[in-house]
Amino acid sequence: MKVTVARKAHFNAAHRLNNPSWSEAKNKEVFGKCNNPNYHGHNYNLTVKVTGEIDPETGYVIDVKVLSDLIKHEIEARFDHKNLNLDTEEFKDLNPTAENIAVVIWNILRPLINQKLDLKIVLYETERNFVEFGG
Amino acid sequence: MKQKEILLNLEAEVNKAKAENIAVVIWNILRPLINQKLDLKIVLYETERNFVEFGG
Repeated sequence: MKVTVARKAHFNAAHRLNNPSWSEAKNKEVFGKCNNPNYHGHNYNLTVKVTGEIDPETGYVIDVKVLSDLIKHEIEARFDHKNLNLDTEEFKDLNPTAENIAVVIWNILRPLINQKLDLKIVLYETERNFVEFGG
Repeated sequence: MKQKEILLNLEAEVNKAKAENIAVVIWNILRPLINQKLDLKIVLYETERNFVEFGG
């Protein structure tokens, strides 16, 4: 009997989508406005979902306080109010698309959460665009 | 009841009221009342930012 526990968080960050191995013209053609050399920002909304059996002793799948602290210290501290391309190690050589950000967040959190529990990332880049990654 | 026993009982009651367990209880109440051909899923927000899901 598996239950999913979810915690919502958000962070604001700037980025620019660019493939350095392409010409300026091709980058502009593929990424459009998102290739703007001086960057642009998003208010990212993040939902982290953890699925597993309820611990009979605590009644929890995972303590939401633990999950919320992990998100705060590992994700928000790293990415909030940052320029993803310039200020973060993770996106120095990785295009900071919503897809890649979701995968990076999953990779950061996965070793920190009990391996018996499933982990899924839902990342909204805008109100209408979101990506999901579950490993 | 001894104090320790009372505390243990209290703890058991608190555990039952965790969001995870509330979602399961709601699912168990509704499941027999809804056509078995239909899937049922509970999404329970305990706060604006914390929610649980249970689909049986």
